[in-house]
Amino acid sequence: MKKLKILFQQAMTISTGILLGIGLEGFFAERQGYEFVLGWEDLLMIVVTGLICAIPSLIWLNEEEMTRGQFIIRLIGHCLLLYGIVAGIGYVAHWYSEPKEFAFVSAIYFLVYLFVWLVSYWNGWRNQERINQALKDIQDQE
Amino acid sequence: MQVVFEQVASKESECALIRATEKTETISNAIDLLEGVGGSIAVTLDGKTYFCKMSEIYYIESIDKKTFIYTKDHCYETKYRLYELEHMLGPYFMRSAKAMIIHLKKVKSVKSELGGKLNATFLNGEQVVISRSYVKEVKRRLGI
Repeated sequence: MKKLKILFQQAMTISTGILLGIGLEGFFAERQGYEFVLGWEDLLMIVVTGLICAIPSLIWLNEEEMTRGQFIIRLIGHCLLLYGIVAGIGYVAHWYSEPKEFAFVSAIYFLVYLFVWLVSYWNGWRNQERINQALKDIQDQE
Repeated sequence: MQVVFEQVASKESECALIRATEKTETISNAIDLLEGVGGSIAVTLDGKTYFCKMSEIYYIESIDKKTFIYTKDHCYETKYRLYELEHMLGPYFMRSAKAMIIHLKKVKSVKSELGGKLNATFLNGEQVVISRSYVKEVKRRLGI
């Protein structure tokens, strides 16, 4: 049940990231004078992509007993695997049709991936600061 | 000293407030008792049996079905299992990983690590890892 919950949360986070990326794509496309249309099939593919991308996260990055080095290697592998999934689904769902569009989708993907991990890092730092402040209040004097 | 007991509806509301002009030894002992660190645990070291004060415990680890209690300078073995010790010890003792219990009052600081884990440094300089899945409970125990 807990893993299903994590899977669902990851899927929602990734789908939101993809929506953000597509929103940016639409913004730039309209500024350049192109018409940007999002159909129901696109929205469905975003949710499906989110779900599929969440599975490697659950399997690869959810282990507790990992050294820092192992985690970094898995993180790089995870990034590339998800990139492959997004590129593959993007090809099938016609998110891009020429190299320029593929480059744009790739750039958005890596930006969103970086953004998600930066948010995660910031959350971790915030936890650290709050916990350290609370520890000072209860610490034994030795 | 006048003592007042007031029954509350939920465990979350439980709290003891001691108002005194100074923190005497008696009051310190009462605080230790209420925080669940007032007692002792039977432990062994080099075949001899001792009683280790709960207030001196830094962390407890289970390895190969044996339970080890770590204080500032020593490591003892105890017959109790982790789940039994969890019930015996106070609210500042909590699971930090599958096979470890830490004493929050002995933690000097924590550092966030990749993957959501925390690296905890004790007052004696020793370090242990708090698993990601227990970070939320750490915050709850500290009232964050």
